[in-house]
Amino acid sequence: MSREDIYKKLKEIFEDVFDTDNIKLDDLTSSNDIDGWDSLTHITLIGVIEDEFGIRFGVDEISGMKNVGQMADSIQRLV
Amino acid sequence: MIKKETPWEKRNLGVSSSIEYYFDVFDCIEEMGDEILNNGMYEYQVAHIPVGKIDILNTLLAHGFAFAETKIEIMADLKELSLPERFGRFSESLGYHKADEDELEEMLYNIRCGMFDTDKVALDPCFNAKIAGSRYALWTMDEINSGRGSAYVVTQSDKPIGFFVLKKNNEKIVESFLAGLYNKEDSAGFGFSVLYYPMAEAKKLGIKKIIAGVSSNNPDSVKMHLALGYQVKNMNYSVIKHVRLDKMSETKGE
Repeated sequence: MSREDIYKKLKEIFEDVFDTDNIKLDDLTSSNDIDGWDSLTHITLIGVIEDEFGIRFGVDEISGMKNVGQMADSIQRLV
Repeated sequence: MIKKETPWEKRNLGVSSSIEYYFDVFDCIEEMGDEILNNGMYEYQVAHIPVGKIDILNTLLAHGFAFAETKIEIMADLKELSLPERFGRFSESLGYHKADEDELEEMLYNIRCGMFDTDKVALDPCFNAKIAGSRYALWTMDEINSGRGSAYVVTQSDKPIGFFVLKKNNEKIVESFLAGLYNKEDSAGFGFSVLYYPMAEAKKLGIKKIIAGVSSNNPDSVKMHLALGYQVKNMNYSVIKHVRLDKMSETKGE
């Protein structure tokens, strides 16, 4: 799966989880950039990403994800 | 309405004098005389008003009080306590234990650094997050030294990532008094641990109910507590007022 495809899918997931349209994601997008991205939503987000991509992150991997770029890196490794 | 002088805030906040007012749902606006509305005796004044008592809130706001937060009292029944499934996988590498002396120092250091930046003292333009941190550190030590409070460290793969303090109110109820993650950025997904382990420890101690107070200024914490099984018990608006005592006495002297 190309990085572009990963981002396309991530955008749909983020818009669904954060209940918003036209969310802008890039490698540096972090919880500071998206309203409502708190600890609880982070766990929901991870669950939805895993289901949609058919993958399972390691716990250390999740706690180390500081931005969308690192998230996409992990997805790319696992798909 | 109950009035309570809070002389410990002199040490905690550096104010010369302070008082707190606790209104209840039966209080009427007509009963609020100058003693509350124009009290020049106390440098720092805090009033707690039950939600919905908008007339009292607005009267205080019109007399120099400023809105600080809605304090939400929450409670959980520990009988049926279980960790919600979505947090389960994270708990595999997590643990907690009573803090030793060094860990207590580390905890107090982190508190003093200003980690509670949504606290009403931290958000008060006359104070800041460090003053709020210092106040919490002193308050925490008071609870520990009194024998009511106990501090615990939360670990991930044996590395400390946060803490919690439990305060025993009586044989049936404990309070999750204070909790926090040392580094929120490095602990994504583990925020639940510092709120869930107080519940688990209380249950282990044979306690039936746990209470906590959260601020409307910290919606993340409110949401996480509710996700872990807490329910809202009560809510109060908190308003604050700073009085320049030197100015008051000058005015009186004129």
